[in-house]
Amino acid sequence: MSGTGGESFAASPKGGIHRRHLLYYPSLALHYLAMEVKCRLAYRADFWAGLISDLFHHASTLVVLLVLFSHIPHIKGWNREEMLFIYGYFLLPFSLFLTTSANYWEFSDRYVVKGELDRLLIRPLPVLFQLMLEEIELEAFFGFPVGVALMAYSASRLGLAWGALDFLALGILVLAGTLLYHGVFLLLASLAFWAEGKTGLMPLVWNLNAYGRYPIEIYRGGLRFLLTWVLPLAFVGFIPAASFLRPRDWAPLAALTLPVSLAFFGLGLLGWRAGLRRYRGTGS
Amino acid sequence: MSPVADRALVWGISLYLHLARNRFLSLLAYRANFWTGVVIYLVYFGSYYYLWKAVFEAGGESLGKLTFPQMAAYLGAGWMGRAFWFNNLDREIAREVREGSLALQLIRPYNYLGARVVEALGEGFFRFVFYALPGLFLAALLASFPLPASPWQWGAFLAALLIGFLVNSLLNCLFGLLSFFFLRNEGFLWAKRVAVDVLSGVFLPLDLYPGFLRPLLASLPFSLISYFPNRAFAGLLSPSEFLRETVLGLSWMAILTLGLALLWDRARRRLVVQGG
Repeated sequence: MSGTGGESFAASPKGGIHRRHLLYYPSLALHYLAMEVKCRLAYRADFWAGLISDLFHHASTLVVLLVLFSHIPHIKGWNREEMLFIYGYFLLPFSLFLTTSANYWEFSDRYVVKGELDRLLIRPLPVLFQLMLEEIELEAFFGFPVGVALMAYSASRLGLAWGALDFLALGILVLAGTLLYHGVFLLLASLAFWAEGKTGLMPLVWNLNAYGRYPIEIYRGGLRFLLTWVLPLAFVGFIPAASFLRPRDWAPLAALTLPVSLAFFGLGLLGWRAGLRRYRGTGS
Repeated sequence: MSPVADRALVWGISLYLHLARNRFLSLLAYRANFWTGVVIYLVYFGSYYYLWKAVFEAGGESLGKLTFPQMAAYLGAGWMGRAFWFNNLDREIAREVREGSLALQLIRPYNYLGARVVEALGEGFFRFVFYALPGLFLAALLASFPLPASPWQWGAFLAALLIGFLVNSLLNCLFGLLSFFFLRNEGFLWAKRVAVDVLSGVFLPLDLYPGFLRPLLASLPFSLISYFPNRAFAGLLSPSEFLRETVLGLSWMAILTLGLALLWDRARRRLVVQGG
């Protein structure tokens, strides 16, 4: 804490952190998180039911995979443990994205049409930062430990040996995947600045996310090209996951995860900023 | 029947038909979304189609008793049928209970739940005609699976779909009414939605589950929502099996309606209208 100058402290009266301090944004994020936890715990039974149903949802995907593998030994050369590993990996960036993206879905209706964006614009914080954290989806985060457990289970069954570098790579790849998702959906949410009302594009792309969690080899040429290079959802799940399982085949492609993600996040930011400049508030 | 009662009946039926028609007509405003709607359903279908294609390549010509074209038809019917039977009745009812606008609904001259179900029917019909049927024909063309060959098979599919819709809507009403007792019950609604998606057989025909689970899953109401119409569409049901499923469907509808009536009676007495 630098403690110089009283004018730019965080809202918290006791021991706020200076704006330029490294921990300023993380500490604000924690405040947002605490707020959300308090809101959710007001309806405790509902919170637990939501959590359990979320776990049940992951369990249901697992049931499908396990039932499938009770009939066949492998899918395109990937066996049961490898498929579980890929799915487990996919859950990490996916759950991180889901936790912080609830407002993209509401963006058109709630923020642009009803004008709630005005409220965010007059606060001394980046608008996108507020948008991501205003509605934290707590239950969604539990996909993360589920994914870690699945990866740990299948890694031990497959006898994968992990060094410190692998964990570092894992961290970078997962964060990159989260950014990629954010870039894609931020861009789609920003369309609301130009076309008010629903465009139907977001649910369309949303439904494509299921394609990223299965081996890319199961898709034909055109679709495979689309998922790798045009709307590169394969970089969120399958490609980086496969690079841990079969590094010789997939590591070169997986190395592109970070640049591709940064490019898409940059694209999302460009669209977002162009949209913000266009925004004129609502009439009422 | 006396002429007065007769007229009341006609009035009653035309009232509900009007509600369904109104919802259908109001949704016509969205017909510009036609292509995105169709593509969304195709994308849904495609994600499972490719997975199953790879599965059948690994498993040989058939899996369980199914061949791949039958499986593709099953999946097509599953995703397109979902456009018809899926609705947000549970959420809408929960919202009206929470916000207290239900009080206004209760003084209207119709059965509240009946009116909601009929409106959902109008909505489902819209999605079915504009998104699902074109999607189904396109999917059949792209994935080259056979469409029902006979009018009887089409009829069986549509009848099964209607039963599935009613069972799902009754379940939705039941879960929506739970918010009388919990005020905020999104968690339960999520749990129900997941249960419907898994146990109705949209993703996975119930035949592929382990043998000891099969009879249990096939007798639950969820199986009527998707497993039943999908098999009717793919031609996997003999007339006697179709009849048996229909009887099962009608029985579950009776049980659910009874449960709903009891719950509704208790819920009305608990109604708290918040705010003022």
